[in-house]
Amino acid sequence: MEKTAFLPGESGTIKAYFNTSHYNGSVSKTIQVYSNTNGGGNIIRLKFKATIVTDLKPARTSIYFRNVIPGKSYTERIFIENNMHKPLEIKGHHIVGRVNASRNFPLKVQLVRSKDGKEYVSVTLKTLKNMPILEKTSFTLSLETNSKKMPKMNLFIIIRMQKPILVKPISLFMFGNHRKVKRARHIQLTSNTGNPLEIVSIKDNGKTFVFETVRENEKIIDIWIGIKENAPLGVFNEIIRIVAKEGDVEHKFSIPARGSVIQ
Amino acid sequence: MHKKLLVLIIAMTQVMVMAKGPIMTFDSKEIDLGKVNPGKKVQAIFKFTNTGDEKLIIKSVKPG
Repeated sequence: MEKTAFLPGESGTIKAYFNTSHYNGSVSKTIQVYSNTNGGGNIIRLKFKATIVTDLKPARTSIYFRNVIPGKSYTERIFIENNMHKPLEIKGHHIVGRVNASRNFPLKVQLVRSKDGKEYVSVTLKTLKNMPILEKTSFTLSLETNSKKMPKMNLFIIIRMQKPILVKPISLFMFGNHRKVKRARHIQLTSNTGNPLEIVSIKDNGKTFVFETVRENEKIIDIWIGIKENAPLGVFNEIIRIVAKEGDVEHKFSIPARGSVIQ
Repeated sequence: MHKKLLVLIIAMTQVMVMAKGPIMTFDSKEIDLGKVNPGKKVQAIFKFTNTGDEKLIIKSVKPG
């Protein structure tokens, strides 16, 4: 605004600009005009809206791979609204940000055209068998397109891994007279992947516990925990370390065990 | 007491009605720009007229 004072009967304009670069779809903006009308405290609100039509509009901008098990492959596809008046092409793709992500989560990106001409981006995740288990990871997948206005289309990828072995409980409380009880508490290990489960080792300080491993079936193992007959009296605060094998991969678990040994 | 107050209120409203002050009348307070390509700077123009009887002073225009 250049001019700020207007005599009675005089007209003027208020111009509002906005940059559509970072918007998609319907956008509305408001403006507040402060003037001396109605005693000076008056605010007049103005509104303008626009529908930003992008060349390419994915039906959703994120892909969520749930309960991912190492060594398996998963495919998700997203419908792309194409306003280019020409078929969409995906020229390439790369992962932005995480360096390790591209190594641990190899992604295959394909353009799928349905019979009625609808275009989809299909993303296939093939996890490595011996990949490190990160419970949740996310990164941006940048796709190179044949659109001049939108040469890059970003999709947000979220991967939630399934724990290969479920351990229950995650800590033990053994207060009470368990000195001669061989099966006072138990820890259950369950294979989530369908691979056979094996116990490699169970370790403690060697003074307090006796362990007994009972296999329920190929996927479930119970570890029974008792207190040694000659365990030292008093309160203990130990950690039981379990190494279990699921398929070819070893996993380590530390289970805190607190309690007391009573005569 | 009540009567006096009432008279005062009536007197005040009459003063306000008599002096209109500046009035900002917009052709339209809402503008639809329709379909817009991304990556462009778009402009909305709001036209107004001072339909009051005093000088209109615009103090500021803010987004929000």
